[in-house]
Amino acid sequence: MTEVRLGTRRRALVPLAGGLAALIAMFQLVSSSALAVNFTTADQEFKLYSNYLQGAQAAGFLATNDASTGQDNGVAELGIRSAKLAGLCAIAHETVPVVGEVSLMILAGVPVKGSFANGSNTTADGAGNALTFDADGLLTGGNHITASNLFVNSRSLNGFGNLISGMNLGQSADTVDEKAGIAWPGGQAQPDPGDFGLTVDRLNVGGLGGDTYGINLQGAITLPNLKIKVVPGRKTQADCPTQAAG
Amino acid sequence: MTAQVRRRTRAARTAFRSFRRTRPFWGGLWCILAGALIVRSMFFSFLLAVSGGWSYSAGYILGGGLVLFGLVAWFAPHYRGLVGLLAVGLALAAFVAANLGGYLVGSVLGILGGSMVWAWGEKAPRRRVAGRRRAVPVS
Repeated sequence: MTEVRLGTRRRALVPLAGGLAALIAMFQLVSSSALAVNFTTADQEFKLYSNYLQGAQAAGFLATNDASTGQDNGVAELGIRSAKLAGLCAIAHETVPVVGEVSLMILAGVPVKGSFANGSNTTADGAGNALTFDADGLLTGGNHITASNLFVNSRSLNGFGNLISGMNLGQSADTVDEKAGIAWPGGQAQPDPGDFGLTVDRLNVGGLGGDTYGINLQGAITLPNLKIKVVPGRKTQADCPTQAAG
Repeated sequence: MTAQVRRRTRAARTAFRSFRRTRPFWGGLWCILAGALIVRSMFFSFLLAVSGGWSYSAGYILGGGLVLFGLVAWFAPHYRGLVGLLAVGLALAAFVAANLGGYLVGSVLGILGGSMVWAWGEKAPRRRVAGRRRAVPVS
């Protein structure tokens, strides 16, 4: 037979294996906080949970956010110059044809607790290990997520303030970024002079939960113990510890 | 009437088959899908992408590049060796720069598609297997 067959040859395995090995290596680097990644979302609603947020130099104001549905939502824009998070559990829901509803879960750091029922249980993580603090009340121990210039716009944020100092409520919104030493990312809603704004020097919040539309990292984020999962069904915060363990 | 419809669909299927078999079709398709997934994971308004800097535009640049390379693989298969490897590189870059490469799926698809585009070509002739119609005679 003198026919020429055209198709994918077996040598495809060479770049495939190389590429996947590089991807796994990068995943491991991200997971061991050696490599920082860029993570930006704007219009998808996320549920965001963390055992403990420790922020230094934060500023916030009220703004509107356009969702991909074309709907305008009132949100609080919060910018933190440097933040440390004890555990991260982000959940987004999506309806996929044929499969039905799936949940995308991004887990990093120590496991997040299944619920933050009251303020007293916010000093332990989802695996039951106590979070450790130094004499100044700052988080110690490894495996925490560190981010610089973290911007979150959320419809609701709740938690238990543990240690908050240097708070100024009602500052003119156009001056809060300068006070905190941050710059609002271009393209998002910018504050108007005279609007309500706030600044905080130290912001430590236990049991953080929020409905957020956007996470924007102008700086880099480290994500130790990173896990990305797509699981069928509608997952909630209660699934965070089990998904982080499995 | 039905005979005509059947003839038309058969002609379309034959045309599609010859389209598929003369270019790195599947590799290009995975590249396009990977690019679409990466763009979808960072789908901002055009204004935001232009004014917001790299953290807003990375999805369009890297995902759009993958879509472009997939289309090049389809319509200019001559360049498959180059665009295949570039697509693998873009898929890897997207993992760092574009929401973990469209939540990982886009990067994996891009690596697979790029490898398949790169490796597409003349296969070694195979002894004929009875009853199979895998081979297409060219010219």
